[in-house]
Amino acid sequence: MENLEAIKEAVNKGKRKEIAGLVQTALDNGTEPKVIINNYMIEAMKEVGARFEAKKIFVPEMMMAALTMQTGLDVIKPLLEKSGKNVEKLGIVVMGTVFGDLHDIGKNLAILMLESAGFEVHNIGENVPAATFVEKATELNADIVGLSSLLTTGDPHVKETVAAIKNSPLGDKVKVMCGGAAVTEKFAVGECGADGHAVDAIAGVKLAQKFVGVG
Amino acid sequence: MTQQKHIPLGVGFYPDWWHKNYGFSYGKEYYYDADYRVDLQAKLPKALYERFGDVGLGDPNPAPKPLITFGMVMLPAIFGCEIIFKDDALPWAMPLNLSKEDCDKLVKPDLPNVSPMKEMLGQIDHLQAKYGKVVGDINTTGVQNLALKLRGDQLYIDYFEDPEFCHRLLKFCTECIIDLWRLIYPITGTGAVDVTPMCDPTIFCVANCTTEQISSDTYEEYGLPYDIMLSNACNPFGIHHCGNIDAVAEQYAKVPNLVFIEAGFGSDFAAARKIYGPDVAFNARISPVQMKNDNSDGIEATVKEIIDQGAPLSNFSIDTVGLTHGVPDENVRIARQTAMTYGKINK
Repeated sequence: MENLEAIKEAVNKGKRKEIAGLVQTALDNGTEPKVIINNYMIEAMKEVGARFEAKKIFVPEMMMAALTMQTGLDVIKPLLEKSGKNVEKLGIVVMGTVFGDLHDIGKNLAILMLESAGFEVHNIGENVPAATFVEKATELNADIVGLSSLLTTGDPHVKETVAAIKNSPLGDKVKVMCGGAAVTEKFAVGECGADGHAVDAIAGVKLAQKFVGVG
Repeated sequence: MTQQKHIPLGVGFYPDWWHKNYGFSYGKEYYYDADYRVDLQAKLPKALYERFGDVGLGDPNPAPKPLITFGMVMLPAIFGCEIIFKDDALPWAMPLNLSKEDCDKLVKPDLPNVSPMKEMLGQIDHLQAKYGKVVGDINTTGVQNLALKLRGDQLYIDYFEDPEFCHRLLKFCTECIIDLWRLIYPITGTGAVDVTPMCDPTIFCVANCTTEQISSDTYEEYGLPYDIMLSNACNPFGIHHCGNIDAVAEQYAKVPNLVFIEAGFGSDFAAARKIYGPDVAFNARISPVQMKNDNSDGIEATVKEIIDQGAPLSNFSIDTVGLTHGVPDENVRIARQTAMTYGKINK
């Protein structure tokens, strides 16, 4: 148990160099991989998210925690694959920054957090036209599309992209969530018709979980 | 009758506002063709006067403004970042995402002889010959801003895993910034025009746009030493911090020669004013998102709230930079009018 708490602590504090050894020891001691993931790693990430929301930690600490978790998962994944059980994916997310906007850090942080929460995330980059969002979401059979927009100049493109997705054959089969400093709930949901708005990466994870029915 | 002074409230429109409302283009030509830029600069005050002359913006008969500027991308461009120019946006430098080994191989550029600085010096010669002077300067960008352009987001992981590398890279970036300032300042006599219009233009103002993303501890270790290094070399010193300043407000107070601070919306302006004292000029920013989406009652309330937080009002200002297409004109007017009426300075 002490070792398992150390895994949680390692994710919490972003001790990437320690996590692989700790996870391996836990596995050697007979701990079920899913127990390590669900009870310790994901729990740690929830605590990290809460500290980020409370402005106790910032972007580098969040990135470090998410990468630490991914390093731990890299130890577990081959075992799960070998036993025919893959790491459970909560859903497929396509994420990009809307056309006209080249900012990437907020989007990349959201991607790390979504991956850590168990989503398969496809980063389609920055300055992404509406048609590309539709194309990629269709090609990848996405459950969720995430739009990031840091500048208010992106507002027309957020609107255009949401409309393009909703008016495509994807329709309401895919949920659309919007985030970034320029986007408000009123604008994203009220004016553009998105399914949800997230004020930050943590809120984005909670929203995505809600969309796939695990929130 | 003596007129009572009021706090200044600056208004800055983003290129898309100009492009969509007036067809003015801020593409590559704006930064590489000095004559095109001077012509465009002459149109802006006239357009503003026609639209907002009633609240004191613009000028019906502006004198030629032989401006130099290169957005915030001069040093990233010099190091080889791809620069994206658009008619309706500020130029943007794509990160190089260099390996640590490649970062360590970087050498300080021979600024006068490297593109696009070489071309900028050519523009300066042209403008001086034509107008007898230049105005404006070159935004050097901030230390962490530049390091992120070179190393990419990975820098934030390096903060935890390779502090020595980070210090080498940040020191290198600081030295490049100082070199750029030392080259430009003797020519222009200013070091803040290309960063913010809200301070004494003759100071050196550093753009700490990404500092909002880090904690006070991280800033203390990886930001403060280099801002101190900058302020010792380039002073008097100012800091542009476009995000919420609360986490690093106390650390900024440790920077010597500090005469100006600019803080983004959401900051506790009253607490920050208390930390720096009334002698450090302070500019508080209003969110461009609010300026676009709120109504005039909301804008008036926000300006009043900021003024209440800013007291004492001498050495205090507000601005609404980054206003994009779709911002209601009425919101600009009410912001200006509220500063004039509610922001009176009692002497």
